Amino acid sequence: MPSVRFKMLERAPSQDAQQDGSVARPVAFRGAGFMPGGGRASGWIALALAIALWQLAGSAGWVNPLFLPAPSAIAVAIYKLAVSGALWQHVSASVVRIGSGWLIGTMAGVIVGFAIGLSTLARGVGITFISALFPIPKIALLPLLILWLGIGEEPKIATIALGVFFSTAISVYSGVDAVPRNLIRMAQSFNVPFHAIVIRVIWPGALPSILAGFRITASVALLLVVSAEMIGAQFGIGAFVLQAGNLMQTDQLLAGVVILSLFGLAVGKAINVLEARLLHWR
Amino acid sequence: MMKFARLALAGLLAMAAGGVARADDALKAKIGVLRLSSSAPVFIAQDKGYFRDAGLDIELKFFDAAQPIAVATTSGDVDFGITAFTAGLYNLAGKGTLKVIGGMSREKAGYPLIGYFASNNAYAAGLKTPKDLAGKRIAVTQVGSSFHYSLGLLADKYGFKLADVKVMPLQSLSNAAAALKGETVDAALLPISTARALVDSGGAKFLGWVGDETPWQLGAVFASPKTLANKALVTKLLGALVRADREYHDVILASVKDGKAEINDKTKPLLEIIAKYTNLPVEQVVGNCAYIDPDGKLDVKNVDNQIAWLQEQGFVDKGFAADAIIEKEYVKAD
Amino acid sequence: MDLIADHISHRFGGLDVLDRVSFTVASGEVVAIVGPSGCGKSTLLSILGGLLRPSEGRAELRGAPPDNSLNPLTFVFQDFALLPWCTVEANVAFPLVHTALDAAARQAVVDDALRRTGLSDFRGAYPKQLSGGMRQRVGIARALAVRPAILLMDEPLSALDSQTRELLMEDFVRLLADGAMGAVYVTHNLEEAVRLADRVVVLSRRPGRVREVVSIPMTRAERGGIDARGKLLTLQNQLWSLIREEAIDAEREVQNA
Repeated sequence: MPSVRFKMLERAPSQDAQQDGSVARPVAFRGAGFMPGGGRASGWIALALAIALWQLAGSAGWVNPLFLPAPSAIAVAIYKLAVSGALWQHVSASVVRIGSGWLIGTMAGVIVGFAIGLSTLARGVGITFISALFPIPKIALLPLLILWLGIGEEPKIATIALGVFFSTAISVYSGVDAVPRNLIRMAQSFNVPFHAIVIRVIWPGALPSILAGFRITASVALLLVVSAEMIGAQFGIGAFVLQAGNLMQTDQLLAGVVILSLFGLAVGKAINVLEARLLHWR
Repeated sequence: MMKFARLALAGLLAMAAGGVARADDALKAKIGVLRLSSSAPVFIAQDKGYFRDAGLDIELKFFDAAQPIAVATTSGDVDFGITAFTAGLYNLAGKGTLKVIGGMSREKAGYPLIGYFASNNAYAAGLKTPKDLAGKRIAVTQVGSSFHYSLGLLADKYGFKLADVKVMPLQSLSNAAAALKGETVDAALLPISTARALVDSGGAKFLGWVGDETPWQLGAVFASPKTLANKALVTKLLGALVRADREYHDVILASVKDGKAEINDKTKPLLEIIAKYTNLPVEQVVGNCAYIDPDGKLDVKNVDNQIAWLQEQGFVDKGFAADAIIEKEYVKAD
Repeated sequence: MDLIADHISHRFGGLDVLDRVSFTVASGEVVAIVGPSGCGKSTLLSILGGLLRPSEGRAELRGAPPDNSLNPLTFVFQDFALLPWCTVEANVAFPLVHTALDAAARQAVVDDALRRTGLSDFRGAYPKQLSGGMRQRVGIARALAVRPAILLMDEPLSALDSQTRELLMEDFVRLLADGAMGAVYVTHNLEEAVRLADRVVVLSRRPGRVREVVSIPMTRAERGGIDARGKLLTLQNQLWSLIREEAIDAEREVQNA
């Protein structure tokens, strides 16, 4: 008797109708959607189409070239700038400012962020100060910065460093806070000394959010270079953009903007590489 | 269906009739202007009803910088703009989106507007007159601005090279004032309104007025080609403005002594109008009276010089001169 | 070396968690701590291991630890507590870096610990690449590397599936076989308790008090046999009858909270 039952179960039931005459039908699939894939080409194609449309609108005279210069006009402006050699002067001046401002702001931010993440006193003081000072628009402080630091490179670097500092401090201390407590307890249970816990547990544990913070502060530094170069800069991409705006040279204005966004793309790529290197364990 | 069509037709006719009727009432227009006494005739014409007398219904749109007025005129947000010449304005005009139709404020001897100011240290070290500015670090708001051009004129006058001067564009008047006070520049070109408090508090030293050194045509009335098509509107507007120009010149400018207008029974009503529109007390307005030609004339030769200078500096696109941006039909040249 | 819980009481805020808990873990002895959920088992283990300061009473050690022990009281954690950015080998070496061992000695210790836990072939792997059971083996290897006198095990198998639990239980039996190492084994699983412990401390519902201490009258070696099964089951049922009523109350309380 049992063998008969096994046989019935083994037989594929779909071919023949059952005793009651009903025919087997497939269960309808209803799990589609809600899983956007990461198609790479689509983004670039969309960008190319947008630029093509933009160019068409300019060439066909649908828009006034003063209000929206065509991509070709922007390319020409960049080419002229490159040929005249001014481009490198602008770019190198800005790179120095962005680089040193970002470095100073990041180092200070990492130190303060760790202090806030590790010490009760620093946390109380630091969070209060950061909450109070972070939202101040740095441009509003420009006259003060000029009074304190003059109009040389110092106030320009300070503007960028200030902007970078607050974001970094916040991302570092939230990164420190996010290090799993059980890892710290584990290290303590093995009598690992404090400094070693900081270096070998908290630093690598906080690194993902520190690097995520870098992504933001790199953009902040690029944003602020325009404000920073409001202070008596003769060269620099920010100064170039400001001047083009003042002179209503919209093609040059957009050329500067394109260069800034290329900067942004390059920095983003660099951080991708850094993440892949340092966070391969994730 | 027929009924509906008839109804629609009637409605359209009524609307058209209404439109015509309103056009007959008054010509509507918007003027973009700064709250500065260099636009005084506009305020007088508006306040005393000269526009209304000319059959115009004028709305004043206030801006806080010269450049946006030029942009707003180009884009049609305002019909007329009244402000200072800037490199940006010339670049717009060079593309044919703006035309100059009349003169406004000027730098002229005896009427202080923009001045040269030295930091205390630079003054102590021998920077005493505008001539000494050669080779110094000088703050201006922006490259290609009125301040920058004034400095260029000074360089021409005293035969020094502008390239020898370190021009520091600080983007705003407050930044330039801060740099001067903080001794990080040797000198700055500032309008009297910004500089007065600085000099009075001992934060900087006065060197001279641009008007005394190098008179030039500072401001103008301009309009977009679309506005210019409406000849009646332009003619009426300029007529009302000249009426105000004349009154401003004969009453206020005539009373100016040592750079200050007198406050008397004749000048007071006009000064109060200017005070109202510029949000300044009358006592400050009197020391801040820009010269304006009584006939609304424009110094065309100087405009040509400005364009050439800015083109030479690379701030204005090459390939056009003053006559390309001036609407000769309306402009009365000096 | 003996580990003594001496009238340990603990409060979190206004909540009494432990109430005058006292017992002794003799040298080489394996003591399981069981009790209804929320009875403070894990809190007690943290206090015994010096990671938490008790409100009253204290944890004591009596007698010298073995000469070569680098960390006499060593934890094995429920969630393994592995450094995700370190390889298996680096995780095992982690507690040794700040000891007096030179590099060669350290490597020898790590190799030995990896061999004893069957991890020699996985030394270069990262935790995310390992199954839960392998991860806990890394945790055990790390503990063995510092040669503990007493292992403090906080529900070491509860994050694992039942087959893996069975395999690791065999490892524990093997590692504890020679009696060189004692252990405090916190668990809610009574089967694990009777399988591994010499004595089982039954805690009451919160605030946790020692309700009863049950001895398991068999060597660990004997418990593997078929005929021991019935006896162990009887013991397990005996423990369950001690806990059951309170477990029901504890569950209700959590639900009402």
